[in-house]
Amino acid sequence: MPDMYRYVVDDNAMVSSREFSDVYALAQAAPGPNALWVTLLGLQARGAAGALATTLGILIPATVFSLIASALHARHADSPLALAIRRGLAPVALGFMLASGWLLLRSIGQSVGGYALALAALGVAMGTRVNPLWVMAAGAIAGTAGVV
Amino acid sequence: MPETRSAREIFLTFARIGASGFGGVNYWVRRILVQEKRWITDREYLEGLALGQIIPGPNVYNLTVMIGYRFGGVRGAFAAVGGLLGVPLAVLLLLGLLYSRYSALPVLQHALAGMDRSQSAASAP
Repeated sequence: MPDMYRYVVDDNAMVSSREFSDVYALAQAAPGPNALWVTLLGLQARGAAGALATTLGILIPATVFSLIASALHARHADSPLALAIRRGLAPVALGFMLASGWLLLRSIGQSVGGYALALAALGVAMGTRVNPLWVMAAGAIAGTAGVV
Repeated sequence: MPETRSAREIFLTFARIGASGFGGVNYWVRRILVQEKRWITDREYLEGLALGQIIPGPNVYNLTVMIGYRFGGVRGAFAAVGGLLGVPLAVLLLLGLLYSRYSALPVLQHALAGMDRSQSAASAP
């Protein structure tokens, strides 16, 4: 992210600093992978061609590498290397996920209600099969009512 | 590779995941693919995510390509990607067009500044 900012705003003046942060904030309102915000950045900088360029720019390498990994894995699923990668990497990925959740939890700040809501969401997600949309609705209502 | 799915089914499944990204796409991948449809197990989901993390690019995107490939070959991979990205890209382009037309409005500037502050706190890792 800092590298992107330096390249796009400082070095090449493709968008202003304000446009950069606006577009990032705006993109969070869309569903789907967060990384797609670069589509919006490209659109703001260079129109439709820019959007196409930034989107393909992140997707093509990812697609190629993922397909290669899939094809290799399909052929050598039981090789020692594949097993080692699967066994070793899975716990590491899990650690990263826990860490980002834990760090993000601190952004709730001083709000006791906020922590209670996060805990409730955790409980529902882990212990029940209730549709998460209900939890989101509850959160939105609590937010509107000023509880959190 | 015992199990396969039609490209159409793969597309529709990932379209649901892509359209309901709130709370993080990863959550919905697990909920829909592991809990609801039982295409993969928890263990396989985790291994896919781990592999997705060392491959360049967004890990949930990499996972999507890999699952699409596993259930439908290269065609399945592209079906999964099209499903995952279709709705979000359409929404993003719409937002972008609205932004370029209305970004001068003070109301929008205040709203965006507020959203930005709350996110810079949230994007720590």
